[in-house]
Amino acid sequence: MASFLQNNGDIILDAVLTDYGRKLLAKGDGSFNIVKFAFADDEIDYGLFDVTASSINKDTQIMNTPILEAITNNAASMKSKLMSMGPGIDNMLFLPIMKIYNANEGATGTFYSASLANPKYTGHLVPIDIMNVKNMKITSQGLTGSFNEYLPGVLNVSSRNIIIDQGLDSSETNSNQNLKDVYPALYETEYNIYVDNKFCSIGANTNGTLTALAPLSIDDDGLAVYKLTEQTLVNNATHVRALTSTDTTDINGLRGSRLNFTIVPNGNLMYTDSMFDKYGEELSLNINKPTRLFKTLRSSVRVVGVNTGYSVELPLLFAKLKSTEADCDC
Amino acid sequence: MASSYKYLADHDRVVINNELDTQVTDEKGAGWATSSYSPYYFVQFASGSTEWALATRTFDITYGRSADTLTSSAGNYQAQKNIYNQFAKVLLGHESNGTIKKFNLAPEDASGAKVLHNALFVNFCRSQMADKIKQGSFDLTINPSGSEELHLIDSGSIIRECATGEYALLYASSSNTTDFDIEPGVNDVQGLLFYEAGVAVISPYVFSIYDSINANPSGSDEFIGENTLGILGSSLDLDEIYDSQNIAYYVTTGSIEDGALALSENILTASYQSTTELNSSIYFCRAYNHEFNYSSNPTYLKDSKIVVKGDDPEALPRTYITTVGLYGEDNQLLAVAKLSEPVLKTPENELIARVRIDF
Repeated sequence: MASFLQNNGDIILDAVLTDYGRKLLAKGDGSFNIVKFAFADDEIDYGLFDVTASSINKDTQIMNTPILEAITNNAASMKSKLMSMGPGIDNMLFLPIMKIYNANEGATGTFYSASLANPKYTGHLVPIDIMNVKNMKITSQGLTGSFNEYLPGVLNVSSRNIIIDQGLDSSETNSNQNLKDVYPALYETEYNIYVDNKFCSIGANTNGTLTALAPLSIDDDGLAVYKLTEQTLVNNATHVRALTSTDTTDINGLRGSRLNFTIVPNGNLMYTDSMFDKYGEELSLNINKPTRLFKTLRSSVRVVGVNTGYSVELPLLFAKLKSTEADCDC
Repeated sequence: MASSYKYLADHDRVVINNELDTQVTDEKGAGWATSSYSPYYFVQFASGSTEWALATRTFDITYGRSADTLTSSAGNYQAQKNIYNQFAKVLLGHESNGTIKKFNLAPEDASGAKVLHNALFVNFCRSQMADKIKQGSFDLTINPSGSEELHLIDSGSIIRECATGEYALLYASSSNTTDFDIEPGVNDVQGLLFYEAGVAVISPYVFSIYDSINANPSGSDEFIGENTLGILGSSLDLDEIYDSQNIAYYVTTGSIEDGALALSENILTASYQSTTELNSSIYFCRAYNHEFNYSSNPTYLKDSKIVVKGDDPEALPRTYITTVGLYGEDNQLLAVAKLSEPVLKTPENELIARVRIDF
């Protein structure tokens, strides 16, 4: 006599609305509209997968991973999503990553990364006003004009941007080729960028012309999301383009796309100290100059590849010369 | 093109309605307390505290009478009339000529012989009764004799429609047939229960069912004529209730608070099932064999190489699902659901996650 079939039916789950979902629901304007889904594996550490064990024991530790209850903060969940590559694509051995292109200071078209004298912080520095710029010894760049010309956290106003490169970071792959040609499914064409709207927005800095971009949405916690694609043109420049074989990059293998954007501190940081007093701290910074006391504020920018789901998070340090400090334009 | 999101098809979403029932029992023995909040109604708490901030409020009691009762010079007459009309207007609505309907213990009897002109109103708090009182679950136990129990129940009652939804008759019932003189068709109906509104409309004459009260008709009908007394006919007036149970006093000349207190002190237990109506959206999140087999988890890669493949391109990719996210058009995370344990996903299996959101 046959035994009963094992019940391997549907997985039934109770979902909780995120805080942003509740906000949209409360608006009552139809903006709460679920149209798609994604799976994630935030709790899983694939380093626990034992490739040397017998087939039944390879993932024993992973399967024993306890799962946390849902977190309602929309920015706290679904950080590592699962991907679909399309039918029949099971033989991928490599997947692309994203890397900050962290070239030396002074190189054209690169992002400025400062290791501060103060060991408390080694993130990316965003000077707030011209006074900061002077104190960071960039007067030799010939900066003149209105504040807005110096707003982005850059040293070289003409071209400094945050640059993030995508690709296979393995020397086993050919760095002279592009993912677009070899594995088009892995080529990233669209990025979402998340920043705290209280402090800054995302902008384009094209040959010294700064253009703030409009966020796609701002959630209940003030987290703004920007969408940049290969089709996004600002001042006739693209934010996303394919890396070429002649580009300098930290990606060691097959190249993907390059994303560039800049950070635009908002008026609350520029014209008052209130945000610094509430969220920040004072730090002594020494950047090629005598130490000065700065009001500083820590935040971050998170970049997510929409197609691959891969994400990187960049720490930011907004710095503003304390008003009582002497300017040193030397 | 690699993709992290998958659009839901029209048939991947269904909306269903469910009802969640919860038993509610407020027992006098648990420490009922009362506190007057307004001259127009009386508040009953479930705990022994009379502090608003600390006690669980269970129901309010008030008293009203129709405009057909004789005009009284007593100070509460107008307030009582207003209360009656307010409840009648909200619960029953208006006649075709615009007049406010009256509570009737025999709704199909056009003669109006059992119109309830004097009524005690018990309003169950929304926090207790949720969306509505479940039909057939109601049992209000009172002790009009001071010791014997009389039940007012809606079990077996025909459901009728009204302005606020549905209501049913409340029948008197007791296992003590010696002391309680309940005659079907005469005095067995002693109230109305409005399910969605959570209001029990109770005849003050329920106390007269106790045999000893009927035995001694006497007294005055100064304020309320015998023809408008309600269900028990002309053999009983309010004063005889007053004589035995201190009820008639409240009805004829006492304040609303006095009348409500009289009922409150005679209630032993309020028992019913509260019903919460749940509207749920169910999303069928389908992962076919070729989908969601790769991960963007930082630990998934080492030098861009997929860890679980063990350097073998022909090994099947695998992932472990722990979370399902539901998204808006612009990739905003609107809802999130968790699995109880990691679920393996490979090109060799498929799964459907039924994700439910209750509203």
